Amino acid sequence: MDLLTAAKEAVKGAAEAGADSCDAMGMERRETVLKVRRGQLETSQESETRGVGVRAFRGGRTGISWTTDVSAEGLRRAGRQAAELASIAGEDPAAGLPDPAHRDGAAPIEGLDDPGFDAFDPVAGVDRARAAEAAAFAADPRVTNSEGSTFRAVRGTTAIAASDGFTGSSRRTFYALSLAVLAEEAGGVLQRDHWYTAANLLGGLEDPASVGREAARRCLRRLGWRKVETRKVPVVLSPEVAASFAEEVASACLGSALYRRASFLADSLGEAVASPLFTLVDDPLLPGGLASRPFDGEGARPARKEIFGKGVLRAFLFDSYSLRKLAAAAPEKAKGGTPGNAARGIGGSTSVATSNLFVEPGREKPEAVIAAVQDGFYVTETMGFGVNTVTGDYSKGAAGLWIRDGRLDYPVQEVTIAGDLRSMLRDVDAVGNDLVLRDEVSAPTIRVSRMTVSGR
Amino acid sequence: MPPSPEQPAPALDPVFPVDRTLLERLLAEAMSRGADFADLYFEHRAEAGLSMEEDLLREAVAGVVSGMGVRVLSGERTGYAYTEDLTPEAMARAARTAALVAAGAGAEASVNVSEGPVKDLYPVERPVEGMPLRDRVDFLRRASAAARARDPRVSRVMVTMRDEVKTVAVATSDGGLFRDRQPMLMFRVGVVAEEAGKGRTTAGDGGGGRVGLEYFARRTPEEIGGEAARRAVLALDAEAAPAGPMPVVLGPGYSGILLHEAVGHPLEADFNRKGLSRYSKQMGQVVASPLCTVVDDGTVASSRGSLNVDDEGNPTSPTVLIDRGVLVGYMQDRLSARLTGARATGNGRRQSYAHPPMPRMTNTYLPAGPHDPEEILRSVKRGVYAASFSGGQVDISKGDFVFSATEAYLIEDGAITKPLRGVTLVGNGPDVMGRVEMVGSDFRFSDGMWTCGKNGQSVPVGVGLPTVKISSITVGGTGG
Repeated sequence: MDLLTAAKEAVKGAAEAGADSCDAMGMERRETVLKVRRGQLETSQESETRGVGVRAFRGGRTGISWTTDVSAEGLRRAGRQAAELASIAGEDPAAGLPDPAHRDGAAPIEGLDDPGFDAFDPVAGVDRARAAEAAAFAADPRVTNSEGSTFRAVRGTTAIAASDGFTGSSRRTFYALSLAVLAEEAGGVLQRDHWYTAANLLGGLEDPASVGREAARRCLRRLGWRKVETRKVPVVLSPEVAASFAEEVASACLGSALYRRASFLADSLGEAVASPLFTLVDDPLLPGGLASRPFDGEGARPARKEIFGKGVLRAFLFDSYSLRKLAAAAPEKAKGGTPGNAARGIGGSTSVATSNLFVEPGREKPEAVIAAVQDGFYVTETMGFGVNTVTGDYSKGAAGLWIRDGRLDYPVQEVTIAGDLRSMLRDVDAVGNDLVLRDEVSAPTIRVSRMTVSGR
Repeated sequence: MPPSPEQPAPALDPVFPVDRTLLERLLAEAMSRGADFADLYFEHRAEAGLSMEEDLLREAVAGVVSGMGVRVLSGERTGYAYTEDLTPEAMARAARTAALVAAGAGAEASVNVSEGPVKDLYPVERPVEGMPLRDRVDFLRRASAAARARDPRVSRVMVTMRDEVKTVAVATSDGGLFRDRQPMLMFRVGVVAEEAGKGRTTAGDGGGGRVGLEYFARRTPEEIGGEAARRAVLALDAEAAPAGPMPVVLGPGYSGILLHEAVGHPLEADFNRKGLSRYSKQMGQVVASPLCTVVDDGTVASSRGSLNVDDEGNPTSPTVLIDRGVLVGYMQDRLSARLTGARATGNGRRQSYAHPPMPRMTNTYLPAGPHDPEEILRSVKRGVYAASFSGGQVDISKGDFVFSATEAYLIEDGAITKPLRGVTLVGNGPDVMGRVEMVGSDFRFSDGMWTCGKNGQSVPVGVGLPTVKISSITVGGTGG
């Protein structure tokens, strides 16, 4: 049975058991994972997996069920169970399928499904993993160990069928090569860093040797680290750290946080919260985007959204539930909002999530962003869970390089950077021109004029 | 699939359509290329849950996932394949795929499986799954009402209750067969508080473990709801945390997350065998203050991190990792134990049938010490008291770790004064463990709510700690 037929079976089961509306999502995934360590194949993993999740609505009551039993009887049973579960839940006027107005018009997106997937030879994946690791070792004799170099090839299919007649099916491939290497410094202290490349099409992957050399470069620049005195200084976020910052800001802009008023931006729509240099976009329709999709997890039409435009908070991200909830609680904030950001796995309800999220590049070269700093911190890595998107409090473990007289000077570790997201947004005083869309979340180099670095 | 006529043995379990003969055939298939070891992991996971928001029962959910994973070990290599299709043909295909990792010419392998004993660490008095979902709603209502009743500034309450029964069977090429039934209850309350002029805050609390409904007699829904609300409201008055190194007192229970990050992960055997950990070359050396003994123990009764048998068929056990400051042991899985000649410690765990096992923590704790908790607090002139945490992260190679407190206070002249916000602590494992200056007599385990991530796999764990004083650690606030 194909996946869409399977989803339809589950919908039938729910409808027969009394659901007045329902939808089902089937997911199928084929994955090969090959890990090489010190030149030798260490792990070889092959899998094919499928499952179906179904949501049933009954007068505003929601029941959800899922199964990996994809026989016709197993699917019907899951549908029936969802409908039965719905009778337990409370009546919630916001529950239900997306409005028909948000359904249609989904067009296929180019560059997501590699036609060569079936013909791909795993040996070629092992070769790429091996080549990346070999390049890291060859880059410098101080690279002495490897955590491993992993090649992944994945093909996933998603199919949605709903009782209002909506059907959608989309297939995508994903390839990734990643490795982590170690170097040892005086006193036996180990330093580790990693690098990776990921793309929907095999041809979109970067050259393995360059990925390996970059992992080595990142690891080696950590050698000879120091801890710095506690002080307030300008902080430059590397593209990777700026991407985490973008993700943290975006998570305060999700409809699920807004209707609960669980966001430091709950009352800020339309305000110039951030620096005019800051523009944040969520674009689920990017050709070849790692998080692109023709329809979202509940079959709503996705759209490009400018969350921040030149510093002004312009849009929130929604699934249909959170949009209806916010519209009921604070209609002025939901005005103009559309769903399209529903994420969904087989086992559970939908949640709101970003797709391809990125900060628009600025005009300055990253070197220039750094060169303007006399005494400051260039952050290459943050650690931990010290960001609270309800209060805006921000305090994370950090590692990077100290900036002295406009140049990267020495590595710094075992420190934190702290501030709050609202001040950080306001204090963005430079945005680099170095945006590369190499992951689901991307950003150029960003400078924040003042944060607390806590160390010695 | 019904067993064929020449296989009269009963099915392995009502949920798995497999008998002993088929198990043996699949294991032989997995070993057919001359591997060192193979195992089959069958899992059937039935979950059910309720979520409530603003006293509205928003969703009732239930589902079943089942599948089987085959692992083949050959030297340092691992081959892995899995399937949700439990027909003999599909499982044999998975076994052959996993076997490819062993490059041998092909040998006749024969395996005789017999069932081994397992412990009974989590007997359940009143199984959660025995109560219809409809009848469980009251637990959520009680927690929600208690959170609201706590303070008028509570603006939003979310409660979830979820239970899981995981039925597993592990069959190994050395003839072992172990079955277990692993219940899990999770109960969680999240609260948003708001006050004009002070903004909004959020906090939560939760608990559970491998327990039944009797859990709520020990810790009521009201208690959990009230505690979540207390923390959220407290945070409204919290001030910016100081920045820089200072003494930190960790409260009992929750703070065990420090051990989990600072020494737990870096003492997992795979990292050490490969020379990737801060502690790779330090067996027998002093790695912590003599006040520190650190134990990982998968046998703690009813705890979230406990297992009767680990996910590769080894019995769980208490494993001393650090004995009065000296590194004495790693947490082993089968592969690392075999390659290093160590004893498997029962720490081989996996998220599900779709994941190969690796060394993981179970319940990691530091036992009680000699100091009175009051005395510990009194010894601090100016510092931070951290009571609860949102989680942490570690770089196992250098040993640097961070963890973030969700409830913390300033200590001034030996007494707790103002609540603090945004407290992240950063340090290096051996350095911070060497600065443990006092260890309290008030040991306790954190209530069951922790989930640990490693290489993309999540498993439930437990942590525990008494009140502990660290003479100096970097506090990542913004204040002076």
